[in-house]
Amino acid sequence: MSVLLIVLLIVGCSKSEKEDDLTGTTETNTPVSTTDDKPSTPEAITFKINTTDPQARWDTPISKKLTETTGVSFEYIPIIGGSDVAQQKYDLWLASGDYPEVLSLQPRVLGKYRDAGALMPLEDLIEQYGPNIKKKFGKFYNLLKDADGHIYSLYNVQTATETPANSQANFAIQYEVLKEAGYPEIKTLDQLYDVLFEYYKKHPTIDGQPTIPFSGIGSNFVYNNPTLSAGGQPDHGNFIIDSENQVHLNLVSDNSKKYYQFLNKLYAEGLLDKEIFTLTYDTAPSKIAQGRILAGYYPEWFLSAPESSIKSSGNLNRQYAKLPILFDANVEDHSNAFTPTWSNNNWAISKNNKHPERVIQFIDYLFTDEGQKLISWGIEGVDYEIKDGKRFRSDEIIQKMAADSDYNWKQGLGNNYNRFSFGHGAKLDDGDYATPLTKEYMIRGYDDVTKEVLAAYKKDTWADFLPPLEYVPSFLWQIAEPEGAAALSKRIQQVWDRESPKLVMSKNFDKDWEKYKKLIESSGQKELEEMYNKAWKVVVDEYNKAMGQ
Amino acid sequence: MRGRPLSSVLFNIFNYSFLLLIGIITLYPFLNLMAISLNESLDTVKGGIRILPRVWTTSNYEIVFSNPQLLSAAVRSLLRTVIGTLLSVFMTTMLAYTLSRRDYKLRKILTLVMVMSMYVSGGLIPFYILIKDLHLTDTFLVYILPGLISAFNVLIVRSYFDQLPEGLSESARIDGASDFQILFRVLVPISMPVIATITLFISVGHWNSWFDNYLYNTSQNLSLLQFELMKILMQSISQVTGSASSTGHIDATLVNTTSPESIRATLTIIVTLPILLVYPFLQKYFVKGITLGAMKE
Repeated sequence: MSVLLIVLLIVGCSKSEKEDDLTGTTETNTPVSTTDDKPSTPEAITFKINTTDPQARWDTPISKKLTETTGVSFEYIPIIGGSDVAQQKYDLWLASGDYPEVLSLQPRVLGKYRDAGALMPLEDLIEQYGPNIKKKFGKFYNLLKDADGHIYSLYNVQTATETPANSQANFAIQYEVLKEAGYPEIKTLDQLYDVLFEYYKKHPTIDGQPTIPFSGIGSNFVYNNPTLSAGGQPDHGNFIIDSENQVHLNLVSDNSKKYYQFLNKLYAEGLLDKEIFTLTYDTAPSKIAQGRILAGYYPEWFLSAPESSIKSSGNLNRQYAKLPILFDANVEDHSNAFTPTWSNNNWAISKNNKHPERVIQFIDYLFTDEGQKLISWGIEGVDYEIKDGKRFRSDEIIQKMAADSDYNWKQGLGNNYNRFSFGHGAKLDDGDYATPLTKEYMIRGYDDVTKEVLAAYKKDTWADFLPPLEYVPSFLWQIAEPEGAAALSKRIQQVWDRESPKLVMSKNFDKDWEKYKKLIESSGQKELEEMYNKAWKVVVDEYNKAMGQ
Repeated sequence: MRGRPLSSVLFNIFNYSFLLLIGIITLYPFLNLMAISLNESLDTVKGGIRILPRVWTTSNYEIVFSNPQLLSAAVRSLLRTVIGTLLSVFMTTMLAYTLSRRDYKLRKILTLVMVMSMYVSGGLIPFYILIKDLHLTDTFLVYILPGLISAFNVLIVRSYFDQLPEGLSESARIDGASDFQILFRVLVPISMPVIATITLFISVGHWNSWFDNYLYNTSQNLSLLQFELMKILMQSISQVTGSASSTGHIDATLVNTTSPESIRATLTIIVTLPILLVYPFLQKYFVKGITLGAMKE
């Protein structure tokens, strides 16, 4: 931002062009309220709120319905750019007091606003105007409170009792490999190695290009997260939390050692992608899309784009099965972890808001079954139908949605009130699912080849492969970074980035591993673990206190 | 070709092929983007697009142009570029002339103040508060006024004026010309190269800028083309990563998403073409306007 400007105000220059651009700022579609079931007719009111979804708009059928019931409309202020550009805008707002009436921010940014006294405490308002919020949070209600006992922001509560149907494990193996091996059970890294080895021996090339048996992306997904998955650990970033709630650095754990050994073996046999250390988020997708990578560790959000490219080119057998793979049969799998709330894009009410109670009433409505149906399913007859007493998206509706990539926004399903959804896999009071993403829906979306592979394993969805859902208080990467931890982490990260490829390519693994372990240790491993230990203890204590244990 | 020595022919062949090569190298990024923008986006993900699209489509453009805000935003961008550039060039020239006058008492101190502004900036937050207190937020004027004078451009023009022979303005003054006449009838016509240069700087700057739009004008009625395009880009990125709708509903495999790469290429082509049109009009001034023969000393 090196805009070198000097501000000169020339009197008399402000004419003509101002008028036609300033007309009509806020349009409030005043509903001559027809809702009789409400005790009083809600008065129309418009709040400003920031959003990182630039295509969000309020003139959609669903938002209009929300306005009809609550009287509340929102005017979206789009925040764009990377997180640093967005951060600039939030800082500007805070410094100038120019923030919108309702804020939708990450906890980290909200902390700044709270410390600057820009947020309203909400607990009394919730007490008075938010019965459904209280009811749905239930035993988790106290989790909303900050250390000072006030509630400054609201977010959703995840009430899922079963694994969401769209969940999937992160180890991906090509259908073709499984098919050729006769759909063997693949639960351990050794079994994975064997099928890759066999397939590679028979098919050194695919469509004339060399086959790549195993690949990955980015250092975390090459050396860190796979070790957590294979060790059956929930994703606490670069850490493992043991049964005594002690935090350990995963980068030097025994699990890590085992996984490096696995990579080392792949490398020695020429089964590892030669570019694995240099692939980026820009270059990896096109490589996957070519269909010659047999297996890898890819999270769903990353794999879906290249996989749909594979699909669209008709190579259905080059899609991936997503299987949880462990070190050995003795590992207990606890990787399918869930947090009771999802505090990421929280709604807070700023001091600029003259009618905070209306916002709470609005959010309270979102916590009712009616509200949930509206924000997650849409409008009955348009976005979903009722069949045999269950909510259901017919094929025509799905077709209609798929034909228009903007449908979510035109209909209002994508708007940020949707963050208050109870989540996939959750059920409403009527016993039916809170969101359309049900098992039945996922199955309908699969192509025939996918169904064939799933059938061979006697499963219906990829989620069925996962271990049972477990709740954890929080993920370690969600909590605020302890003071001084950033510098230490960075130093360790550097050693890790530098040494990891050496370990993978090492000819004398055990010796190099010991050397690497010492290097990490001398970079401040103990201090870092201690810092996170303390921070984690606070989280766990607060959680237990809030839950009354 | 008759009568030409072989060496000259060889030289020409070599010369032209060399220049052609440089031309292609220079144009390649642009051609590549053009090819990507005209290629089917799921196919683009596979990579390997060079100069020609592999699976021809115009759907990327259709997606971008389906945005209803685009036309009005383009009009505002155009207005901003034209009005902003004209005013800015006018003001810059006036100020540069004043500062180039040796008999102007504040010449030194004003120049110093301006140069300071190039090295030390007030920072984003104070600047924002200033703009807000001047009631410039949510106005069209905020696009034009704050950047009306750029110290850098003034210095360029001033140093151009400085190296013009002083006899030119002196003789005009003897003939009874006022300062305005000296500036606009004598100096500006022979300074077209530098005027064209800053016109180009300023107009490209105006055309490309979106940050002031983002910071100061939240109203849809004031958004500019670049900002709208930026939004489309963000939207395509969020569609792919799914970050915007982590609790979203539509199964990604069902939706025909466009890859951010395609959208980015398409947008680049869309925003580059209009401003490219400015170059041919200004180009002739880069060679003209030399003061050769204006003075005999």
